[in-house]
Amino acid sequence: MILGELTGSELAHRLSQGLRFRTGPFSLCLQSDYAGIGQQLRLLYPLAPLIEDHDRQLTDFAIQLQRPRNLRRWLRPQIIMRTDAETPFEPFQLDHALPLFEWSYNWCIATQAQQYLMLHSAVVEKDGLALILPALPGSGKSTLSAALMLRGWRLLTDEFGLLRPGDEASAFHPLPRPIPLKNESIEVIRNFSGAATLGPTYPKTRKGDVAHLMPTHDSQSRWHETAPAGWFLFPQYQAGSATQLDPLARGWTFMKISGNSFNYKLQGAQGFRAISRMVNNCPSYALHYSDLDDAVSRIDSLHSKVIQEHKHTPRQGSCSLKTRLKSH
Amino acid sequence: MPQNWQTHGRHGWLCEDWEEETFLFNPLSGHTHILNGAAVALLEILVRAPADIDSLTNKLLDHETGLDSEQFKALLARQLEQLFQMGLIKPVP
Repeated sequence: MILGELTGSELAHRLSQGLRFRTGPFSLCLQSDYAGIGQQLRLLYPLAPLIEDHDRQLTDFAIQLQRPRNLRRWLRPQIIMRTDAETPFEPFQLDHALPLFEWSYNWCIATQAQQYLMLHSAVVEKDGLALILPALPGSGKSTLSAALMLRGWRLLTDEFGLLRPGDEASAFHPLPRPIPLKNESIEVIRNFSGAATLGPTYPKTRKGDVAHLMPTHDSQSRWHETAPAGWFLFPQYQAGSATQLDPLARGWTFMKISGNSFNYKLQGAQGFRAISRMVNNCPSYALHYSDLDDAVSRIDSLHSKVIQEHKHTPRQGSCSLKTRLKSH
Repeated sequence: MPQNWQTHGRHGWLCEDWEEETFLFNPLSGHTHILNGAAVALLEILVRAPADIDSLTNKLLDHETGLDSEQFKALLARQLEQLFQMGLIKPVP
């Protein structure tokens, strides 16, 4: 059974007891006394598989979103997030429950899912190969990954590029969750595609105005299909600029990816090996753009070329010092 | 008597060469370093056997740099200090 099949009353009941569902590799139990969050989850996670009581399965994360028992339950009402007896965030206003849920879920993953090397990046896939868009400040990667998804790419993630560190195929694990669009990007994507399903706009959050774009049906339904790393794209939106794609140095790419990872240092040697493997085998490009349609078209063309080159033998890295080290 | 330097035993370094630099991961510290050619040249010698600055200068002095022996030795001394601070080499007691 999937989340979208629940009626309003079933959803409210499950939320009060603990609504358990799966997104990508993670299972979650969300308990809340605020029924409004249920409607928003049903809009944005309609294909999320439910976990039934008879499955007798523990969930990876447990989040409570509860209204306070003091005056703030009624006066300028708030909602509080708790997980594993911790309260990592300040209370949010009640009608910002969905953004709080999304950021809470992010917090749980970032602090607990250390079985993965987690890159701070969007990942999309087409024709079996993944394109990774690292989340550098001001890059506009959410807008670009949303546009790619709406033009037929499968969204694996907008936030967490998940890799098993020892995986020599460098396969990314999908985590198809709503894409949080901010400020001007909301209207840009609304105008970009009539197929965009957007949740309500939340004004004046900590990140400005935020609205969430539902992942496409294809992205949601193929949550179990990994995709090997193909190439890296570092986008930079520049108003009025022509679309330009330039190759990037491997060393620079390694620095940016490792520096932008949630847990590179924690992963130790296997993190170094995992990122090195990708840097050796995956080309890296900078994209400057202002026209979203043109950018998507250029990315499509380059992706076809990368696929052709990817079919050849993987490239091994080299190090002059390594040669010396082998003899000692 | 000049100080002898050596690398830490069983260090398990991992490294990759990209463009003009060497990226080195040191499992003992958990840090990743970016090394230039001069640093790598020093480590390539020290990983085989301890050496002092005089013998390192003799092995590595490159007259194309335009530096004389004393100037080159001063440069190596700074490089050795940096490698020591990174935890990649240590003085021989």
